[in-house]
Amino acid sequence: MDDLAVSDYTAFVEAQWAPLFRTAYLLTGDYQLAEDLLQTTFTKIFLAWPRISRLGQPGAYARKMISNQATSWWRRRSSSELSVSELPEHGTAGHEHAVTQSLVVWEALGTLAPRQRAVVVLRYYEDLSEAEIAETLGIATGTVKSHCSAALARLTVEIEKQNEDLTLDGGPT
Amino acid sequence: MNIEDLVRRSVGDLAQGVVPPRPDVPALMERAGRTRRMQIGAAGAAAIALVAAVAIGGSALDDTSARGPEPAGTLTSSVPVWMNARSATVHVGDHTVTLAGDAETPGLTASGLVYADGAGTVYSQEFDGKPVEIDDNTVVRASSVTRWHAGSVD
Repeated sequence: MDDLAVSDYTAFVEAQWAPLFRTAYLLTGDYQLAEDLLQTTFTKIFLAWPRISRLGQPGAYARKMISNQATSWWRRRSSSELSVSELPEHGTAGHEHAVTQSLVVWEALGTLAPRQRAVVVLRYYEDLSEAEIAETLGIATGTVKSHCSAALARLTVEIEKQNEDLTLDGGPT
Repeated sequence: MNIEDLVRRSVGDLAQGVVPPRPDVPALMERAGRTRRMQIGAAGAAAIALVAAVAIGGSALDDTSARGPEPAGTLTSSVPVWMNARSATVHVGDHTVTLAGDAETPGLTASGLVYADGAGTVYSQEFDGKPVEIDDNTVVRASSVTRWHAGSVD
């Protein structure tokens, strides 16, 4: 690879690393896994950089790799993962309430199936359209819709359940 | 607030609360170089399903210019492995091999190719090109960044 290509690759990594790390973090739910995922993805991209850069939209390509790999990893680790029945902190009203709600949503995300979680992250964090999500995950648009619908239904139930637990514990409502 | 708005706001808040590590581009390129050196690319070798921390994609195997030595038998199947500090189980043909990272070295990375020859022997390979024969259920420890080491039987 010539110096120009290396320079392009370096610029690409530096520009995409932070936003894709956040996506990876939401997809995996684990800081270390997210870092592993990014290192692996960007290494693969380096190996095929001349081809990937010619295709255009390498960021979308990276997102696709991350989303699909995260789904694969999630399947492997989910069997050994322990869910936490209690949140680490119960906030009070105001800003803390929003923080607590975010933690409740975080816990609820962990109950979703891998594809459902990926759809939620791509839809509500990455703001991708259903068609773009379908392209990213390699599934049909109708499947994206059904995953999204099922995920939101599951999240609603889980969030309500956790909020009830918080109320019983004396936390914010 | 409806569920969509709540999820949108929450994932945004959660993501913004994360401070990503800085990318180490030279390390990424060096890791890519190690991968390329490990590519055997034997004709007819079919990469099969990998249940591992990370599988190197087909695009990473395009370069067959850096082949390592091959086993005496005919390669029947192969699994490229890129593992981090986590254990992984790979299936090579009828063989199942457990690979383990060094838990004392978080972030340790190592890569290699696990393959089986026509005689049913499963191999891994060191990064410097020396083949390491391993048996089914052998734990292969990536005890340094640059080499595979055959370890104790699990």
